[in-house]
Amino acid sequence: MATDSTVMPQPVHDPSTELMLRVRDGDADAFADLVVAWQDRLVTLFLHHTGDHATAEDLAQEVFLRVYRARATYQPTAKFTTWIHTIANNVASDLRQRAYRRLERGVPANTSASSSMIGLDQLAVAASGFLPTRRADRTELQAVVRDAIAGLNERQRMAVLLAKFEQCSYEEIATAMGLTVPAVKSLLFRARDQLRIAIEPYLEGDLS
Amino acid sequence: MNDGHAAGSHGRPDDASRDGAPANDLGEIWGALDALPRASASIDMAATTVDMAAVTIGRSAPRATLRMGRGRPTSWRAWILPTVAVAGSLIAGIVVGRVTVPDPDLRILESLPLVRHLSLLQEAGSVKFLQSLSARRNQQPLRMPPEMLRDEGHEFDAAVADLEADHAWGSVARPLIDERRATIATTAGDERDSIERSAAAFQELTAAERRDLATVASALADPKRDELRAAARLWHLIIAASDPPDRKNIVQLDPESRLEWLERRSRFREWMGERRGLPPGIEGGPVPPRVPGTGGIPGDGRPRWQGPRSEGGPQGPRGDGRSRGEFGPREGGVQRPEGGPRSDRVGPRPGEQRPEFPEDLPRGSVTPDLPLRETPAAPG
Repeated sequence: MATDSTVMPQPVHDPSTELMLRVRDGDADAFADLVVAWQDRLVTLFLHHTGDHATAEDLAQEVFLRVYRARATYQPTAKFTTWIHTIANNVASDLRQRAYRRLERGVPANTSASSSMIGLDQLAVAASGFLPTRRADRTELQAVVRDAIAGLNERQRMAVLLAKFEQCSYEEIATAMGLTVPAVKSLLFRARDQLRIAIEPYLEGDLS
Repeated sequence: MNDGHAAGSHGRPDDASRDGAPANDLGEIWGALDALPRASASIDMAATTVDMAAVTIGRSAPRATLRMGRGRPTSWRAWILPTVAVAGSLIAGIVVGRVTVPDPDLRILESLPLVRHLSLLQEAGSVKFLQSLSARRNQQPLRMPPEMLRDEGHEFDAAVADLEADHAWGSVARPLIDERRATIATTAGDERDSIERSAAAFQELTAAERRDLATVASALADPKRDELRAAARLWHLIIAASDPPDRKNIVQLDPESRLEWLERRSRFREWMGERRGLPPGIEGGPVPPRVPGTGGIPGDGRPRWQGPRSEGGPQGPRGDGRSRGEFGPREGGVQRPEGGPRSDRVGPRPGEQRPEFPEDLPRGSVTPDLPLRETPAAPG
């Protein structure tokens, strides 16, 4: 047994992987559970990637459909998270090639962010007289960071979002994005510099 | 990577993930990224995704059958079957699209009664608050012109009647949706603007806030819950009688703070009733609690209630150089002759009969329909 474990790839066991195995075996309920477990994470990822909530939901749905279509090929030798991040990155890349360019032309990235979020921002500012100063600052910071993220290129943005929101390691980001680890490090390094230029004036004092 | 959203990769918590290399490379930017909010998928996303997956299977199965057809298809089959397949796919796509594309209008139409009366429902706040208010005694709006009180009361009654007539929200049948859509289409002018504004505000609410609104609306729409209606009506009148700049602050208070404000207000009114006639310029109500830094109207000459009554009058600094409980004219102010006209006087002149105050009302009940007591006429 011990010898086998050193030779054969270890099957990975985590809740999502086990759900995916059930999906592979034709369990429709497991697919629904998988969607419920992952939808907020993917929508968050795509929301900050595209700046638009409706688009984010469409992309998340596309990821789930691809997962479902490819269920028969799923092997639990890799973690499900790595697999779904790879699919998510592919979906984002496809969007860039197809429609995202048009979306960017039509609506600037920073203003195409969820209308509800902008509305809330405005409400918060309007009511800032009743709110602690820190909260108003946080709202402003949110807008600044959102704009800064929108200013990154597609790959930098995806790498940052995978690192921050999915807590991916270099290796996991590299696998999901089809890059080498040094390339991911380089991406994140440049992203940090760019984000710092955009955010630092606002956070002067906080960052130093 | 961890499956939990809150937990980090490989079970490490969010903060611990700073030890990971990406966090180190992002450096100080890592913390700033916390400002980005976590998003939530819409309520029906999971259901529509599962449905779309099912449709995907349904579409792929016939195609497999076609590919595995027996023998060479005849010439008409060569084009008719793909055409049918394409048409079927188009129809399925349209159907799926209609089902899955988020329709913000639909949500509004499903909740149209809530949208129409959004401000009233937000003003009412919660059933818990209305129940608490209903259990209180001797609450009454500040004095306001009778016609205003009547108008506000009628406005509230009309809104409740409207909610009672149409109390379908949430999952609503398609014919009713269509009916509401038609109604909105024929609405114009200020009413339409008002609905659009309310709809925009409604869209901003969280699901929990919408549920709370629906709960309040259901309570108000229920004719058996007269006590809640009466409490909501009373609260509406209290709000209407308060200073316009203060209304929003009051409505935004949580139930406990609202009750606390009412308690202060009651005590103020009690104090005012007992002290009536003593100082000039006491008319008006207690201001709602203000968050520090929000301003207010410093030096507007209106005494603020400072605490429970005790010997010597109201407590707390007056901010005008006079000591506590001292109601004499301000230093440097106009000195009126004894017995002269005082346009800002609240109480009756000596010898006049005092008007009744709510403290004289029977205890233990909410009194929303009390006849209005007019402000005592300024003497002179």
